[in-house]
Order: sequence, then structure tokens, then C-alpha cells
Amino acid sequence: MQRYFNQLYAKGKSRRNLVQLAQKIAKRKQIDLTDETVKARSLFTWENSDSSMEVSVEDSLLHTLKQLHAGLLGVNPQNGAILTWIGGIDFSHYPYDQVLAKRQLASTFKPILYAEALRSGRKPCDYISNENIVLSDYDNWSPQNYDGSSGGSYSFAAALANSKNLPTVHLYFETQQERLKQLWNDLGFIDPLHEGPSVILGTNSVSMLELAIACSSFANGGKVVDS
Amino acid sequence: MDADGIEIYRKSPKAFPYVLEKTVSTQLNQILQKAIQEGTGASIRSTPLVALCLKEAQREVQFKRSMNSAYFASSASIDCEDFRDADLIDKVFKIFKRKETNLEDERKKAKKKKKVKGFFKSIFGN
Repeated sequence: MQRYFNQLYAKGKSRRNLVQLAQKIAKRKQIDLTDETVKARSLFTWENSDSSMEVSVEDSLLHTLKQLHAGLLGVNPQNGAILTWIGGIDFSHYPYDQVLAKRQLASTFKPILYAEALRSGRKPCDYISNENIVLSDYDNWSPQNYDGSSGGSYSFAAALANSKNLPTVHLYFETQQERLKQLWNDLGFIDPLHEGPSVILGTNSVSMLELAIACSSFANGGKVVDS
Repeated sequence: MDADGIEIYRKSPKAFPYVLEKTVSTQLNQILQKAIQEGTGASIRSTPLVALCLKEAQREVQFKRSMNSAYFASSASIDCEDFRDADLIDKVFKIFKRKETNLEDERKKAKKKKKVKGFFKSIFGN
């Protein structure tokens, strides 16, 4: 059961979903979680390395969810050599490679859009509007900066350095979509770039490996490597 | 290399294609360094993981060489204010701007605004 929950968590199920699922399974198997059903398990403690304790199903689940699932990838940007590849925290417990797992790009997409804008003649000291905007053809979608600020304008460099959403949306409107898609493909991403302005908030899912290879061109004079 | 240090694969050297101009890559590099120094990435510099990675990376001759290369230009060369309040032209635009808009209109407006701003800038300067 623990392994099953680990797999679901690694696939991106939220803690709330997993707790709800645990409650459903407990109900089906007639385990009363509210009475803190306990099960004897062998646990490590600093006092006694082979201690047997009783823990509830929920405790066990919460313990698993507290563990940070992380990976690390190091790539030499000049030749694509993999310097470090850490797929997860413990292969025996979580046989899931975070380096190849696809995740939404979120703000890591911004440098790609800004790279295209620089290619099209924008300069780091140009100013971009930070005014609010409501898109009627996208369910009145109104993007916001993470700090809720709006108004005035940010320098191109500061907008990217501070990951401002509103200037990025305004910049997106100036960008030629075909050129942006071409750059996306040239940088080596496998899946095609999504359509629509939400793409600038990083709705495409890519692996850490794809992203590292794409970003290597920023540190390599514009040459894109492969691994 | 495998766990015993035996070479199991050697990649043949090849020329990589340019997808960005060198100047664009340098500018982007400067901006991303700004992100690490004073932007959203500033807090990561205080994490032990990053400090240890940089310490190890400094030992790599090739890494040190690439850090000193022209591509790693300092972000100090970006010499402009981060933020400025709406100027007169923006305020005029704002009066006539509807709150709701759509993708196509915004694209057209972005093109038009660029032209008008360019015109005013050519007369009055920045």
C-alpha cells in the first residue's frame, strides 16, 4: 500500500487527494481511521536502532509525504556532458527518476520568451508595461504578478530577473508566434509548444533534462548541445 | 564510466548548431545573473547545496574557464532603472484603453504602440 501511495505521489497526486484516497480505501477495507487504527512497524530511532512501534495508517502516509522528492542534474553547457544525475532520494523506496519526469515549466519558460524578444531586437533596458490586462477570449483571464503589483513599467531585464507575469504577457503579444515556436523546437524540446497566452506562464510539461539542455545554449554563446 | 571507473561510452565530438546569436546569449546571461544576484533567485545563493556545487565546480578546470569566458558577462553592464512609473504616453494610452481585451486586439495594439512610441522617441528622445 505504501509503495502504491509513493507511486501516486511521485506522479503528482496532491497530499489532499492521497489522504482522501487513503480514507476511501480504509472505508472499503473497514479500517476505522478515526479510531487511529494502528499497526506494528519496525522503525529506526536514535535510541534504539531496531525499535518496534505502533503507527496509524495516516501517520505512515503523513511521514511519506513529508519527505522531499527531489532530483539534481548537472550538465556541462559546452559539450552536453552529464556531470551529475540524481534521480531521487532513494531508489529502493522511490524508483522514479525525477530528471526524466515531466513537470510544468512554470516561470522557467520566461527566459525562452525573452530570448526570442532579444532576437527580435528588444534590448535589456527597454521598458515593458506592467498594466493589468483581461483577456475576454480566454474566460476573462487576468494574469497577475506573484506579489499582486501592477502599473508602471519594468525594464526588460528587471521583468525577467524578478519573474514578473504582467510584463511577460505584454511581451508575448509583441512576439511572433512562429518564431517563438521555431526557437522552442531549435532548443530541443520534444513536445510542441502549446497555443495561447497561458503558455507564457509555463503550461508546457518538459523534463529536467530537456530544460537543462535548452538552457545550456544561454551559457554557451547560443549553441545548443545534446546529451 | 561505470562504478569501477571503466569507460563504457565515449561520445564523438561534434559541432553544435547555433540557435541564438552570441549577443543574445550574452544579454540573456547578464539578465539571468541579475536574477541570481538580486531577483527571484537571490535566496538560492544562501543554500548549502548551491554553495557546495559551486565549490566543487570551481575545482573543474573547464568550468572555471567557461566562467571566465565572454559569455559570462557581468550583470553590472545592464545600466537602467528596474521600474518606472507610467509616462505621459502610457497615461494617454490608458485613458482610451478598455479593461477587457482579446488576444488579436492586443497583438495589433502592441504593434501600433511600438510604432507610435518610436515616433515620439525620435522627436523627444527617451
